[in-house]
Amino acid sequence: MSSDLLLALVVAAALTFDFTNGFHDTANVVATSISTRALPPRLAILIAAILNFVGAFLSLKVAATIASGLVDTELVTLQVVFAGLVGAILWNLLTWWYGLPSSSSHALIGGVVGAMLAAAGPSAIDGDGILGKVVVPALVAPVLAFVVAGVAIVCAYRIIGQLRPGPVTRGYRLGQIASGSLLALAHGTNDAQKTMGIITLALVAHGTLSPVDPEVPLWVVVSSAAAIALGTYSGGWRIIRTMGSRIIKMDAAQGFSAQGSGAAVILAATHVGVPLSTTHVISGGVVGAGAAKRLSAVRWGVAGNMAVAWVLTLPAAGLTGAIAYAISWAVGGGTVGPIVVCAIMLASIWLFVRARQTPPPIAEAA
Amino acid sequence: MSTLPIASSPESDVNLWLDLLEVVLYGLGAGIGLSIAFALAMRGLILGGNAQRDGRGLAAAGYLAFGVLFTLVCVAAVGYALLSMVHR
Repeated sequence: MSSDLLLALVVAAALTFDFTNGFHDTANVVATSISTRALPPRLAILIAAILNFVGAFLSLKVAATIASGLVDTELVTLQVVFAGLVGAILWNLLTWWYGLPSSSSHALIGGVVGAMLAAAGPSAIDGDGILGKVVVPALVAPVLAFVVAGVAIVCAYRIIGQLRPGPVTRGYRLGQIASGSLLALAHGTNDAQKTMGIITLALVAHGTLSPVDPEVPLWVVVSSAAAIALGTYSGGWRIIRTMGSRIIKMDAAQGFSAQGSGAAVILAATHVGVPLSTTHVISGGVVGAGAAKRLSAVRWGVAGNMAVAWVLTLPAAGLTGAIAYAISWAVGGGTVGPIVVCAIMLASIWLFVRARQTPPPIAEAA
Repeated sequence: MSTLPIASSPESDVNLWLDLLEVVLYGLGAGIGLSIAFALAMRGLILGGNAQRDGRGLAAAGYLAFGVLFTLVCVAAVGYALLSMVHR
């Protein structure tokens, strides 16, 4: 009975993380389309939500790779997973509060690694795995997207430079609908699977599923897809404002270059099998598209704040995950510990709901 | 429903750097290529429309064919991206 309750808590936390992932990362997909007026804000978010939902059903191949190769998976317990999810959710909410686009995947990895450190010590952590699968790709992703978007916009300006701006802007706005849709689909495919993997691992640990070739149950796929789509539809307006207008004031051609380059880099990484953060790629693309036109067009202070948030994501989510595990352990572990930690998480969600009562700035303007 | 791989084998450092190099090359090619193809499509379609309005039939046909060709290149690229997402 108590293990059933613990499983229910882990599933609820995983779906809550999925929801925060949706509204946190909405900005990656829709911000440039909104700021260049390719789409009205609500329609852009509705399309992104539908495509995130559809994307979750496309493939199940990357699910359950969150912990493997990073921590000793044999030592992972439901309490560790729960504490890791709490760390990721709280970091997502904090960065959303300050309008900073940070990687939800890195928050989840940081949370699980931190909880694992608290639970089993440093020997349970694979440092090489974290360096190779998380740190190095995190450095490569924004730099690559920056270069691709920068070169792409310079080439595009040379080709369309002599044309009348009206038809060019209309054409690029149409192109942005396609490139933004592709990004939303790729995001749904990549990120909803992480939640499916976490829930499936929890079901295996609980004994509901066999550890040998477990199948992802249909209800897990549907609930994960629904949670990320609902989160996306909620819209992370603070981060949308940062991505869409606070880094650079972009035109439609820059928006297309940032989104097109981002989609190309993410799909190239998916094709090869290297996990890259959607947030890092799109942010790099937006800054690259702006800097290629004019270096001073980029608000480097905002870009610097984003970079600081990226660097802090792993340690901060890790620290929160470790604290969550420590609280859970201190009050007796088992099912009682996660219930106490759950109260902290619910307090964060209450803060989120209160913040949502503030009218979103972009929706007001639209 | 599909089966779920619970654990994956750790990659060697050499594989990681080769994979990253592959991502860099594919990303550069696809990202810059898509942007150039889309810009060329727009150039062809816009100049074709202008030529049509000016009564230059032959030039209009040439520009429009050029624009349609690169539009098809962009559509094919998006189609390939969708296929690679479904079949990975």
